[in-house]
Amino acid sequence: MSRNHQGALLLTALAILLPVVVIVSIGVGAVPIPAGDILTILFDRLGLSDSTISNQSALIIESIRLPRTLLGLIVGGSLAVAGASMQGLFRNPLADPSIVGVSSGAALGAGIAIVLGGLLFVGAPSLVQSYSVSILAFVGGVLSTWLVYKVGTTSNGTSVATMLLAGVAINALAGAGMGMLNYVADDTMLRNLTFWQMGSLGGATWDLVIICATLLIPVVLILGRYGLVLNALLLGESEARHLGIDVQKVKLTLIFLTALAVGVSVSVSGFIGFVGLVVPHLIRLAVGPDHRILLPASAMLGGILLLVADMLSRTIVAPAELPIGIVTALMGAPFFLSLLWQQRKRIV
Amino acid sequence: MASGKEGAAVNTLEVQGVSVQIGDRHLLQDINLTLKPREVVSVLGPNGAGKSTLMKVISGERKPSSGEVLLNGRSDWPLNHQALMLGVLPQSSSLSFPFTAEEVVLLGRIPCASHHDENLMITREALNKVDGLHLQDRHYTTLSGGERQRVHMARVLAQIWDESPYGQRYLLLDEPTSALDPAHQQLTLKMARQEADQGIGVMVIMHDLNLAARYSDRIVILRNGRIAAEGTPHQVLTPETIGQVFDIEVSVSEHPAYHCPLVVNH
Repeated sequence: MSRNHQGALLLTALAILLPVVVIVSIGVGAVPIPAGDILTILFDRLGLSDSTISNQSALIIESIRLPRTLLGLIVGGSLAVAGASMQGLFRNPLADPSIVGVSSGAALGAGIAIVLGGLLFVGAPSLVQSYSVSILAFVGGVLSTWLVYKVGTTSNGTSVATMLLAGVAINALAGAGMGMLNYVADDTMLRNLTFWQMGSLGGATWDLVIICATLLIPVVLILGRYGLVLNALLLGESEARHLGIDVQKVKLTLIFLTALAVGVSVSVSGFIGFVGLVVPHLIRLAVGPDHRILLPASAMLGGILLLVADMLSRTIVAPAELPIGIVTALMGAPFFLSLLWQQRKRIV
Repeated sequence: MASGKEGAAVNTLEVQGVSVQIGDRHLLQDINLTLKPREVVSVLGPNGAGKSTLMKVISGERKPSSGEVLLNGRSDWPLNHQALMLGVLPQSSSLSFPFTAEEVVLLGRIPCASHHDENLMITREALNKVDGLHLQDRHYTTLSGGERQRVHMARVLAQIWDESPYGQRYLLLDEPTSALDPAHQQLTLKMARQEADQGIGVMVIMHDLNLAARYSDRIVILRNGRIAAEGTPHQVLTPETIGQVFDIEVSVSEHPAYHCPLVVNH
């Protein structure tokens, strides 16, 4: 079977699996809700039928489970697509937004908002105050990407190696900043910080879902159109240029979009690692590196994977909740190590 | 000086007074060269003579400090138009993702607006030309150095496969034979010759004087960033010139089977 057919098959399978996982994710929790009830309630809200299901279930779905599930779907898909784009841009299957410093820059921004927000935002409109964490996380993500890009770029183009090393430095700097914030934070702030550094979809509200959807869905759709360009970039920057691609412009666009996707994701759900690394890799194993398949497949599998991780985080220590960042790290870190192990053998 | 803009009538790849300078080092100094369709021009020269720099200037990857390169009369083609006229094979390519050989060659069709089935057909024909059809389903990462070089060759061939609406087509090959066994070296240059016979202008950087002698219409020898000699193989490949440029002693006789010089090292 040719890879094209395999790709089409994979996309179809994911498109079928996605709604199933969404329904399961809405059903799982302290109060289990049967799939039939979920569908009835959802159809009812869409005005397609009359509901006879208890108000309690409807309330749980509407105000808790549905926004949380949608947020997980969008964040997971965005992180995976951002990861796939970065790996293509850097021509390295191990590159990840967290390596370039976008994630830690965003985390530092959020940390500043949590600890110093009271001082910084005195007198600001209440809307700004309530979203201060999101805003500063986004600003931190974009700033750190911009800095890494500036350091890594000369008149001859962007040196991937320098850029990755600059990312290492930014990560260290952001880590030090977080440490300082931990030091000056009081008990409540510390709890907030910790919770946020580990990542969670628990803060999902319809407002956040709408912010996320309006920012991230367009970003993912635009990134999805860069499939052929990313394929060409894998050959190398000069080769891509010889194939008629304006490499400098493409690089800037990809860097900005990736920073936006990761910054917004981190701002609403905290530091959730490894999704951008694991998901594209799994898909490459199945259908090869063609970005025209890889990007849409990553978007769907990223959403699915994050929902599964979220269900685990809600059920493992129920009725308490395990931060989802811990779940993804437990799944992703060994995976990352095994990738390094394979690379090591290939290099030797 | 020809005015560069109304290019429809100009059908050459022309290097006009190109110099490249980094600090006080002159990588290229006042290079003038013309590549016409249907001819194979070899660029020879010792390491560091500026061959690859020249190739980068011609392909537009590097801006010259002065002078310009006119592709069919224009120096300011949009990149996607240029890609239909100018195929460039770099010395080495880093590709660490497991594309199949066929997928790599298909990447060459990116600038072309043709349908996928047609692209596949062209891809297979191009692979066949470099004796690589049996590699089509192999993963690029598992190929040997020479096999990779041939796959990239096929990719560049596929890129300028169709006649371009913007003008004549040219092929720049930077040491296309460096990783190949003797049989495939011959095959690659024979193929370059065939492409030229079909109307493409071919410029090849190489080190093998006898391959250059046999397959080139003209030979350009670079030394220290300047053109040291230029002309037909018989004009250029003389013991004196080779001795001056490469600092080796050779004898030159007539090739027993072909009408070209044969260089023998002492």
